[in-house]
Amino acid sequence: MENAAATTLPMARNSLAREFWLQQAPLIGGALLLGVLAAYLQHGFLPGADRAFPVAEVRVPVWHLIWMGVWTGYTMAVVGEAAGIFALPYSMSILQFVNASVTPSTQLLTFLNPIGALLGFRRSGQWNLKFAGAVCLGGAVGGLIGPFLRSGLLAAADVFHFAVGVALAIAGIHLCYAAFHSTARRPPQADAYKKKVSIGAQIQGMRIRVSFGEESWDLNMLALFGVGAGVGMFASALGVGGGFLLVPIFASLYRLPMYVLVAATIPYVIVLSAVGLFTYNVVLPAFGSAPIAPEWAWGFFAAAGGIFGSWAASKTQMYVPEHFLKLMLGGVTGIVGTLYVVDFFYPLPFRL
Amino acid sequence: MNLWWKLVPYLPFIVLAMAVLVAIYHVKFYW
Repeated sequence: MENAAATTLPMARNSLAREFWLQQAPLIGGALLLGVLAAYLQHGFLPGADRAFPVAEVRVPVWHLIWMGVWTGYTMAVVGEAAGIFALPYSMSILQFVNASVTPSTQLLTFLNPIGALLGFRRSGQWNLKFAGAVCLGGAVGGLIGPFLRSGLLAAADVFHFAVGVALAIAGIHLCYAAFHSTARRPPQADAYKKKVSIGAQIQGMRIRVSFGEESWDLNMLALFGVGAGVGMFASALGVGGGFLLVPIFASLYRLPMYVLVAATIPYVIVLSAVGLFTYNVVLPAFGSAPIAPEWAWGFFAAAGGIFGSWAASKTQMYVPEHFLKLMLGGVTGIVGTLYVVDFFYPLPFRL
Repeated sequence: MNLWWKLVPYLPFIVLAMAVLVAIYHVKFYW
């Protein structure tokens, strides 16, 4: 493993630095700038360690929010997940952001975080809008419904904690399962990422045939839409991207390999998060419910770290002992999720 | 061989350990 890393060193150093400064730094700088602008536009000052974030009602240094994005984005991207499912409980339990605005604030992170990855996958050819279309449309419908669940059924803090606990437990089980049973993977290739690949899709009636090289999968578009809508409803009600449910469904039920399913899941997370944010801010008040405003600066600062973290993961993933990491992260996620669920029925003697 | 590349396989664990330390710092000084 170290040897492989060492042999790539001379070429990797220059191209990595170049890629970072040309492609990632502008995105990270933009997110930081938007964070500062959002803070002044929303509150007239920059909250942080000394002055509490008015919407979140907590004091947190700005560097801590950026760091939250970095570590959640990095560790989760290494195991093929998104930052939201870790950033949400961390915001709630460690940073004590416990009111309803934690949901759209984390949704802003899940909206911006995968954009770098989307551009990368588009460049490498792992991109097909026909394949992504049905599930993204379902995600958009789910993103319109989920926020209503959040403002109604999941409005109470304990019920919301319970729902997050269930989501964490699912993510934990999936990670532990994946640690022992690897999903369909291509064997590592020396020329990977050097030439552009292509994901094909042919629509026939309500079915779509997705192809990659000599492999192909026949999928029902209504089922894709239904899965997208169901996952989207639950994910946008919590404020996460939905990858924690969509990836295991695609990998287990449809036997789609990671390098193909990202063509649908990455655009899905972006579409779902965008529609969710729009619903929290615009659609909810249009239907007579109170809007749930995000702490915009919180989301932008976390996203700046998340963009860097997920990019760093994409560059180091193949040198990392993925199975052990999945087991460890799955274990932690599962235990935290279980504690949230137990706390709902039998209040624990410590704050969660 | 560069030390940085030797550390890469351990990076997620180093990052997680740092996250735990920062979380403890936050709980101690901001709760």
